[in-house]
Amino acid sequence: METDCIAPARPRSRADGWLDWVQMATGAALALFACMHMLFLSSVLFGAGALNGLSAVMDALHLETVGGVLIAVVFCIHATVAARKIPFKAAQAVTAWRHARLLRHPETWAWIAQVVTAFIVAALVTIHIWTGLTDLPVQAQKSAVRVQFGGWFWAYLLLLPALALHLVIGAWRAGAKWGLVTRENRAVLTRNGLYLLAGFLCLSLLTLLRFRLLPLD
Amino acid sequence: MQRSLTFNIFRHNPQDPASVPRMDTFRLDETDSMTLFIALHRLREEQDPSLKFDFCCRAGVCGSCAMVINGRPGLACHTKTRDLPAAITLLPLPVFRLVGDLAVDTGTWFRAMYQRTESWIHTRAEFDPAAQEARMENEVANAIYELDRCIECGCCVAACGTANLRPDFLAPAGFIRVARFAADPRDQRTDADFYEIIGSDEGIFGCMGLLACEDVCPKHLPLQNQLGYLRRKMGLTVLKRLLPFGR
Amino acid sequence: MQIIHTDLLTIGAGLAGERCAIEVAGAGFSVVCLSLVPARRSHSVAAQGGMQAALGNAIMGDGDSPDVHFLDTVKGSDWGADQEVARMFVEAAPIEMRRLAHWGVPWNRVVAGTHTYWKGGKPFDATEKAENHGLIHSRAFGGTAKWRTCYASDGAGHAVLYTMDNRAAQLGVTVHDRSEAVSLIHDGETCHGAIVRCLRTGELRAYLARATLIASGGYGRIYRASTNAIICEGTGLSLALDTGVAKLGNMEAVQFHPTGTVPTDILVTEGCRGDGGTLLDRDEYRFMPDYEPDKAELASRDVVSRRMIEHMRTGKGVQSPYGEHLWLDIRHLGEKHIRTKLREVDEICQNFLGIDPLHQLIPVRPTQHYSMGGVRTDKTGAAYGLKGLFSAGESACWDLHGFNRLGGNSLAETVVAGGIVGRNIAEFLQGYDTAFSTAQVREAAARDEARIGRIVSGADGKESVYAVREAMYDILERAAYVFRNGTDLAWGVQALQEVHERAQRIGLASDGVGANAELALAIRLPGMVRLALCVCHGALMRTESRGSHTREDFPERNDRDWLNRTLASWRPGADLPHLDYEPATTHVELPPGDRGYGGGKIISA
Repeated sequence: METDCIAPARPRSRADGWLDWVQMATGAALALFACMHMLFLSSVLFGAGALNGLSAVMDALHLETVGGVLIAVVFCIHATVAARKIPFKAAQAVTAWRHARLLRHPETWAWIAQVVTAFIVAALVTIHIWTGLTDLPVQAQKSAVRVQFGGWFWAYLLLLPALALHLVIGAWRAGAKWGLVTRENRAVLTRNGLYLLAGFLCLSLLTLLRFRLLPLD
Repeated sequence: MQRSLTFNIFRHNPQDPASVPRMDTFRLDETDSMTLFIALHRLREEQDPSLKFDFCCRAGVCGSCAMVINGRPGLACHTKTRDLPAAITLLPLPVFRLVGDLAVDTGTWFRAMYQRTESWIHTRAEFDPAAQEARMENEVANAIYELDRCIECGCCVAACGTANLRPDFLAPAGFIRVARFAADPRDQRTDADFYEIIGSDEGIFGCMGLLACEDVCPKHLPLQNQLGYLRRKMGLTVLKRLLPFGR
Repeated sequence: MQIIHTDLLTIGAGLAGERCAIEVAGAGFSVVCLSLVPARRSHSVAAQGGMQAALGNAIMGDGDSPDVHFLDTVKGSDWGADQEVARMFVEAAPIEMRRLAHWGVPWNRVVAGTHTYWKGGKPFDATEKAENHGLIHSRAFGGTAKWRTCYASDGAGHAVLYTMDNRAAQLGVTVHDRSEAVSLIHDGETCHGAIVRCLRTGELRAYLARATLIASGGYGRIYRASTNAIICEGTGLSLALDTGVAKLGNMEAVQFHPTGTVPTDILVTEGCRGDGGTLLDRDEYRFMPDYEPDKAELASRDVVSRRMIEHMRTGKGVQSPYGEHLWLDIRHLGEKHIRTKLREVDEICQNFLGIDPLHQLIPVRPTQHYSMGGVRTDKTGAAYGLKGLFSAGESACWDLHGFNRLGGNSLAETVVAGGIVGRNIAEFLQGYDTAFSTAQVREAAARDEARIGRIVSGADGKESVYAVREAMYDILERAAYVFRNGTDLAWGVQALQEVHERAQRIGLASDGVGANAELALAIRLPGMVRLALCVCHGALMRTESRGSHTREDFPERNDRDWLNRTLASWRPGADLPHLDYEPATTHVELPPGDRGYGGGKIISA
């Protein structure tokens, strides 16, 4: 007998298509920025002078202020748009958690990890941007002070792996959603994604350690 | 070496007001070539005749017997007990309405899907009984058949993160249906027409790319590649509207 | 009780039912299809081979025509078919295939140029014509002079059923799935619909319809070992039989296939034997050459099935928890051949049996495959005895197949008959009025309600539904299987009468609430036993061998006395079907003769 049907979809608009593009584009831009930012900071591995030199060049070009504000804006957009897909309601969160536990499926767990890391990244990066932008230009000594005092080291120790996970899983999933990760190349790209994750983690943690151990004047 | 199998089976009869959802445990001695089809029927006939589950073709082609087998959605008829540990947990598929125990109502869900996707050839051509058939390349016929192989078992729906979170999601089974008609030259619908069906968060933009559908599909349909293809197609459709000649 | 009103009520939503429904809905009438399962899970979906239609596009079908198709069909039926029906069928089949193509079936197409094909396990080259490039292709099937079977890869039934259901959805045909008709509403002259049980909730509903179509498929599942889906229990046929006035035709005509797997009864193709596979017994001894020195495993389906049973009767069968069987050995064909040419067989063995046919033997036994018998209709599809009742497809005895149907003709029959009968129903509905009596509905529903109540409460007894079904299985397996003889059949009829008695005393072990399978079977089983009695009694009376009906004590085809069709009806209160007979065909295009295969003597008319 007829039972009730699934509610028909709401009237069509272009919005969802646009939002999907925006989510991926902002995510990609932020991922790219995060990589550059990390590479930039990791120049400290070659000494405080290397980082300060690079920073001076960028500051002279006003890249740090303009770029910083721009990235902050993109970051807010990405957080807002991507939040559409996060199961905020308690019942939804429970469903998602149970689903992942039942299925024991790596990519589904990865998504759970991405949601969890999203919250960590959102909270810590907001503070990070604020303190960073109010204390320009970037200098090795200033960063080192921050890392060595006031609990910032522990915050970064949480943020960096969270960011690395969020970024790599996000990139992989965007690839899967848009069909760049295919049935044929999935195994290879998954392996490469893990390498990327390891590389990102190593470099960022080394940099963090370098700041921690950088002698203060 | 004959094993003694333990089945932990979800039990609930929505038609019985006294029934509360619970797990029941059954024991059965394993026999050669035992499948869940054989095991469940023996449980029903020998131990508990009220046990509810669905089978039909019992040969992996009709899609009736999908259930969650030790955590993974799959077809019970072609699951051999030999490939499972001695403790087997069986649950009904999530997302679908429960009929009783392991039986769920996939029929209603899929009928709604046909209506949403308008799962038929849209053509202005009239059939002429006196005329020879319109020609088609064999490769095209094979490509359509590849996408037409879905048996509507519901495994992909049950494994889909989005479908579990939002009941209005069209789900992989719906997308592969759209892909089947998009690949068929007899269907005159355009990308813009298909956008009306799947260009939303209930449609292809709701897909989170977790690929569980790809991993559980018992017919190994090319879900991953087709979902990616549809997203690009729909993403481009929305971009084209920006261009003056794209409207 | 909910009462639903419609122009056409279709019992069964497989290919035949939906094809009819589409025709009737297309003419502007309302249609409701009942189905035990979601429509697309109907048994039509399992047909892999294809549909026969004399399109003649393929080079190996060159020169084919409806006339050649007609000859193959009538010979195949062993002259049991209605030749007027066969003629209608062969003429309409090509148009129907094209119509299906128009609706979306991805038939395989002709590719111009030289290709390697296989015949009898040997490759050969043939060149497809350039002018036929892109037209519907066809493949070979047993018993046909030409390659005539339209196919869609390895899933013709799936592809056509999905297209058909799409078309039905497009036309707004309503399908009520998980619904089972339990009796027809009728007054002995006119059929007015059916009392239907919801398989979700167990509630009864009444459907009032000006026309009722039975398209519920075959009755293969009255046998223990059947390749049919487990829903093919002949429910539609029981409904018709229980009216006391409708008649079932040729119920004794049941087709068997030699190599169904054990335990799950899935077919493995004849190609295994064609390519050199052998049959072995419990001692892994190859027995077929002892019985058939010339052809051994390559003898016809019927013969191989018979010899297998014969050999098992000498105690050489392999015992298993799932009953006795023999072995099919293809190990010697080698890895390359098994993994490529016999991929389908390889997959069935690996997926369903957990056997690697490269290293292990495949358990097989002769298995029920197709039911030629069904609700006897005239050539328009109208059932004998009740106005407003129609039937089409495997559930009908239209009668295209006579005593043996050809591969590819059964699937084609569903859509061709569906189209023809559908048009006739639309014509019938035009200007036809009837009066529905509320008393009739109430009485029918009350009768079913009371019967169900007694089964649930165990008021009539506590017979176990599964034990009674096992008893029926055992009897049919001994009396009315591949081989039949007067002694066993006479015993079988008597034993089934006892089982029929027991079936009246079934009481449930469970509560019967909701989607309860024990209750659903308990409601069906007495009807299934009556069908079994029709098979057994019809087979006992038919003292000849024709097509799939093989009597050891009457090995000849007897055209003098038995060139006719058995008609079984069940009078109220009777314990045996009443049998009468009609000529196999009134229109004779092809007089009875030799089929050219299968051997056997003929007693001429």
